[in-house]
Amino acid sequence: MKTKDLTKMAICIALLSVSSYLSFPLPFTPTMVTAQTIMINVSSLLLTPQQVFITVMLYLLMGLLGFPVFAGGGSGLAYIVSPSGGFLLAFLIAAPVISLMRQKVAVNFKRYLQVTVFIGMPIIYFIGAVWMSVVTHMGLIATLNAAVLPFVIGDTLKCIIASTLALRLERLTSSTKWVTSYE
Amino acid sequence: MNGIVIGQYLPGQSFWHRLDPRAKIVATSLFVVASFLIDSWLFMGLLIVAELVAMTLTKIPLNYFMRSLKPVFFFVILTFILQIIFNRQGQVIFSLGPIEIYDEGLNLGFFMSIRLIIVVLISTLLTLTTKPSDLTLALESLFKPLKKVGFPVSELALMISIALRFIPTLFEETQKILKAQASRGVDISEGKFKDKVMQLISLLVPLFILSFKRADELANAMEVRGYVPGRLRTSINRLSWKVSDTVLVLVCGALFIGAIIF
Repeated sequence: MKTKDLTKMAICIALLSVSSYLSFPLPFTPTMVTAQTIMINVSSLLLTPQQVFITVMLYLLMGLLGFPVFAGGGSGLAYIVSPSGGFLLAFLIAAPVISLMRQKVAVNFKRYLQVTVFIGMPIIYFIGAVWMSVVTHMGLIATLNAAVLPFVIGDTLKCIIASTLALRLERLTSSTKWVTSYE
Repeated sequence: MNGIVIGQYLPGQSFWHRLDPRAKIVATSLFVVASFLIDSWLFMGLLIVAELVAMTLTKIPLNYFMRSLKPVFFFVILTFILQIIFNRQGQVIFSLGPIEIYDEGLNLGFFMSIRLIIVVLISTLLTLTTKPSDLTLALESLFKPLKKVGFPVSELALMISIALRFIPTLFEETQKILKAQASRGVDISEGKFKDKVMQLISLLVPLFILSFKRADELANAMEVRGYVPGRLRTSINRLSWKVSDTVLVLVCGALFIGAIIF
């Protein structure tokens, strides 16, 4: 592991933590769009599979230890064992898969969107729904109705934002030479 | 003053504060697993008493613990409601249209809700009485056996420390970017939905660029100071294990074994 990779992953963990505090209201609904899912997708698209796995794993570990890095500044094991905790664990599986698939596709918006929507989102929904079903002893169909269907549109929108963001960042980071000044 | 308080640590000199963080992490983990293994109210009562004793020993006012329950309150209510609505075992004790409440569902709803509460409180106990840096040190120490199978424990612990250090900085950076753009005419609270999305992206792009630049600078600074990944290092902070730590782990170990047996 190189030092630059190490600090990059650390800074991504910090970005994931900060993003859980960022939220914007969706018009005409009481729902809030949080930047957390966007950050997961962007990190998946920018880092290697191994790097993003370590990043998400350490992020979850920090939350488990009680650092307030989960949505809305929450923390602790209760978030994992709660009905919606499976979605956090699903990030651990989905992020490396997204990153792996991204390496096999061309660098353009359409491919990025396809990877995040048709590969990332189903993994997250499936694991999250199974987890909720087990924790609450609900049937799987009831779980899908409660926890998956209402969020499909919002999450698709987040994937669009993440793909746009990742493309811009990729162009900027590959073409920009850092001008560092210590004057 | 930024809005993020990392670690929630409260300085103090209580018995709990002076314990080795490794003992506290192991004890908390055993306690949490025990709470998930049990299914009797008698043992739940025992865990509740043990937790109340621990909370008393911290000498921390109760409202700090109550505050930690606030964000989890939604989950507790959700768990409770889901149980009483969808659990169909036992006798019907109440019905209203399609809703039927069974006694077993009610019992399980209360049980799961209380379990969530004691898990949150024991986690809060750990973070209120332990410094974030000590937690990271303890994690590195506890995961040391994994080094033998090639797991980069020191590097992972360092990543957590760096992340913790940069969370307030990045949060502050976010606020700066928002204000800088507001002063240039961007209004995040108005405009069409598409405009809002572009404004969000215009916030996140510089945040990422600045963050990655910071990461590169930090890597360079670390390397010129002699840091080499994987090389054996010393530590300025030391942890010391005492008799009270052994006693705590044994008590929680007993609870854990008891939960398995009963």
